[in-house]
Amino acid sequence: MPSALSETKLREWMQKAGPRLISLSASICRDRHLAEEVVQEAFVKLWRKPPDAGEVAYTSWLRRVVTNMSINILQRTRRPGPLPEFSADPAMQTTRRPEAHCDVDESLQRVQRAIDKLDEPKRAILALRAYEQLSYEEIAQHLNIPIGTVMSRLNRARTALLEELKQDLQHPEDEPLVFDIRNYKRA
Amino acid sequence: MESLDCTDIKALLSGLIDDRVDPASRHHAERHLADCKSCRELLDQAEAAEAMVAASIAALGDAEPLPDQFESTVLARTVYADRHGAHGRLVNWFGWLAAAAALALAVSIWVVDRQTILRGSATEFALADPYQVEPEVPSYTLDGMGSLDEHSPDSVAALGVDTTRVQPASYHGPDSSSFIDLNRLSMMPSRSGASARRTKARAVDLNLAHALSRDDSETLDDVSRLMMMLVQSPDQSFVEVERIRRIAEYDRLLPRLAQLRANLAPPDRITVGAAESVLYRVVRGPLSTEDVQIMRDDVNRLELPSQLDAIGNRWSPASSL
Repeated sequence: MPSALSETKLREWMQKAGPRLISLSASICRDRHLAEEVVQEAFVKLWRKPPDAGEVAYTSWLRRVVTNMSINILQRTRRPGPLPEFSADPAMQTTRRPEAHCDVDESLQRVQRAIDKLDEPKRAILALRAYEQLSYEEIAQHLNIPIGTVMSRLNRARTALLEELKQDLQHPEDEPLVFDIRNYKRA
Repeated sequence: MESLDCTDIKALLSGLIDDRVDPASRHHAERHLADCKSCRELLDQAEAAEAMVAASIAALGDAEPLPDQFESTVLARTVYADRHGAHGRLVNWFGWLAAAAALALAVSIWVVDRQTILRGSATEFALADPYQVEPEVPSYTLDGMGSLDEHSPDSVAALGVDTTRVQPASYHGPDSSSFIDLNRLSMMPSRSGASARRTKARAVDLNLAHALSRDDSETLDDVSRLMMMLVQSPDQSFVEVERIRRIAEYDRLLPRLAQLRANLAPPDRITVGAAESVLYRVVRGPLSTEDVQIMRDDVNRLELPSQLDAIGNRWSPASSL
């Protein structure tokens, strides 16, 4: 059965949405190659059966497909683990400085390590809220859960993240880590 | 709700960050936060961590271009797969139709004197005694001297073209002994029908050829179409050439052609070998616009699409009854 898309449209959507979808998938499944495969599969699905609502729905549809596939693929293959570029390389770690504000790269690495320790559903909901900046209603639709469940899951994910960040502190007697929110650009 | 404690604040943490709490709860939460440093810090850390999560995901490369081969992999599984699927279904349909027609014709032949139909056409040859009729084979000359189809298999090999060797599937690095130098090939003037004659050499040659499998028929058809695509591609544009390369790679046409070539009679092997040489050049690259024009000229000069189609017709399962 011929696709509703043309080759040109498919290429256009791959260029437009592909990189961001790969980042989203990689943030959940922690494996860049796997993320690329997941996103490729999503575009194949788009070709085979695009959403009935048409092109206006493609972004949301692709994001939903990628999110769910990224969660499910790890649960099927049991391939957890940190992304290589954010592995806990001792050579990249700096000693704790007494200053209140942390180096951005070190903070990023710390957050990455903390995210690595969460399970896929928590990573997914954090990514949808923090990175994709979806509303609670949109998250509910993406994950096919009630809105009340969105708030409670998000709460558990954020709490777990903070707990992992606290655990990551190597010198708990030092001044607690304080993130200067102005240093970081929101996606 | 009159007042909130730290446990309540933790339960409302996401709601406070995302402004999803009702006004009354927010009022009580703010009253608690005014008096509780640890809850204030918790909220600040949660908000900062939120921004860090976004930054860390963005750092995974959302501003980078797509990886190499990403698009081509998707297109191979979608656009090109559908194109070949439709083509394959069409070939199968025609295959069955041809088989039915050939069976009906064969039944009617039994009541006709066989000697009266021994001519040089491909289909009629297939129904008649193969030892008696010379088929319509493409007649190429090598270096302008003599017709290649008159050479025995040994002498063809002696020309520096090993037409029986099967190529490895990888095709890493050219192997000049196995590829036809197309500059040495040219077409003989076309003959107006072949005369029937009995030769042992021809019988030996023909015995080397047998009915093609359906896969081989499809291979010939696919390659013939790619040769046509090359000929019809616009000047100064590599879009079609790139498409040909992707189809050839995705469908593994070069190893399929090599296998097919080994099963054919020597004259037909030359044709397939010539097509293989063109396709190999496209797949291997790199190509300039001049290279593409030279290949177009070779394909036209050797009439490769029609010659490949003729081989397919000559040795198709439907015709070799």
